[in-house]
Amino acid sequence: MLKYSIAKIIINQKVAEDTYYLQIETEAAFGPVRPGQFCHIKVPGRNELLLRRPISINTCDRKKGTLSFIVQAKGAGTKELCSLLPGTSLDVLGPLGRGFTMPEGAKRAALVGGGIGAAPLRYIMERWNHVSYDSFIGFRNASLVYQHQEFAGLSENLYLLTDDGSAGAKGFATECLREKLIKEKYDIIFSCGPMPMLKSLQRVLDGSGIPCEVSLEQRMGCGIGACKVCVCQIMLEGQSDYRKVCTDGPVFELSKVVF
Amino acid sequence: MADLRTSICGVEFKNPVIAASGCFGFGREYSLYHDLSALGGIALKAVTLEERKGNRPPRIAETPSGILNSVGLQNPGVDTFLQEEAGWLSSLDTVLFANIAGSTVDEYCAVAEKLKNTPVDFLELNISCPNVREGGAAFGARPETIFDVTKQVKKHSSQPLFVKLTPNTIDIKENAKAAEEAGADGISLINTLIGMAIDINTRKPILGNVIGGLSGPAIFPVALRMVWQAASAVQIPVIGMGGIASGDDAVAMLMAGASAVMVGTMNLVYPDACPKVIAGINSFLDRKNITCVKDIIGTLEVS
Repeated sequence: MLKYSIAKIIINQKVAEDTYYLQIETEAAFGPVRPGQFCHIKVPGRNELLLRRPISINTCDRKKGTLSFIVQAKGAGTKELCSLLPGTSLDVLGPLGRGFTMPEGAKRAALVGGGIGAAPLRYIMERWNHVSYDSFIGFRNASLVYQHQEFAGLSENLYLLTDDGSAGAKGFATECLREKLIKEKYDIIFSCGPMPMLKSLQRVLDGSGIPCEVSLEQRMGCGIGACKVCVCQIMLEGQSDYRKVCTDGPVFELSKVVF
Repeated sequence: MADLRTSICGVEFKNPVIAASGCFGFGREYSLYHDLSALGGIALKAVTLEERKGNRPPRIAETPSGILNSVGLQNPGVDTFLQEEAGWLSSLDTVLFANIAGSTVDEYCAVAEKLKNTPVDFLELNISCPNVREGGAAFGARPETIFDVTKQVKKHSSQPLFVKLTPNTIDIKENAKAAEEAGADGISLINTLIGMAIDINTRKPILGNVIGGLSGPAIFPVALRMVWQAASAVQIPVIGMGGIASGDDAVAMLMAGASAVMVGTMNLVYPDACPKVIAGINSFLDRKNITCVKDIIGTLEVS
């Protein structure tokens, strides 16, 4: 029987504007974690905020029993999570969902991350460290940039971009990738970020033949596949159909996503 | 340990806690978290004659102590349900309710026919789904249409028939009586209350369907009132639901006249919500030295 575990916050650190790094330690050991998986976290002591919050795993250490997340303090629930002190108990369900898959024999991969969506891409590089990575990470402006050092250290080339040029180069991650694709070859591309970015990535990669997996977001209920609320539209055998982000995803083939 | 057994329409339940339809799928997902045979029963997700894709997303919005949903009866259709789920479900030692929905009276009847001689123990007639244009709550708002659809489906069902009532109505007592007069073996209530949520930053509704059904602890007092009113109006058994989050909530529903309760939304928050409610009922009974759960049903004292 699966259990959801009680975890304790070890670190809660502001890493950018309205952006926090939360590390938790679980009481019981958790199963193997795939990059792209998420945990479903209950905001403690606040039953008016009824639902759990799905937060993707930024990194983890199974031996130490720690899981880390980048949380954007956006709504009432995430603001509450970001204000919790180390030592606070958290009720955590997970790891959940179908994560990214590294194709066998892949040597070079590109990562395309936008804003808070860059968070789950970090663990790809840590987990599959035999592959070399070019990372294209975009933010609205310099105040929102987090884990710059971590991405720089794990990537062969890091292209940091901001909409206004206040950090890195001015522009969009997808446009930067488009330019690099003229010369560079990648076996696989992984991405996570806002829907407009993923849509534009779909256009950039259209006809390129490079496989691309993206992690999608949707308003979620149970997180375990039962309630069928968190659906997105996916092309299956030439027809668009609803698929659950929580258990069919959150990772899907970009070419099959209907925006 | 108190005696939690109860019986409805001659069917024995291990305890009065049933997983509510729509929040529990066909049970598989929750079987990873607890032993489903320990539940009083499971009300399976609504099935229709043909597959339904459901409504466009987003399908859920959180509201204070509750949620709005607009799933729209997504299901694989009754034939696929029977092929893929019935065998597995029959291996469970718990009471099964098939929740049936449709756009027309004929469709409800056809689904009931297909469920004859299957592991399903009860039918729950879903005339209260607020998220579909045709059928659903369109049948459930008025006593005349409740009477008609109940009477027709009853002719086509081999199992005891429960009618699931909507709270979005004028007089719940009249609706309960209409179901009883039409031959329903019991009623279950409440389905969700119609609501909506707006994202003021985008000036758009949060739900793809604009409106949806409100459930969760926010609606518990409304549900309790309606269960009490309905139970006072009919002789047939009543199953109470709407926002139950604890053993104490369940006990209140039983005191208000429910023979059993259904737990829905809280399964989305805690996968083991149902076992927790069962344990909570037991601990209440033990604390009060009450030996049988049956002894608290309908015992509300209104002076």
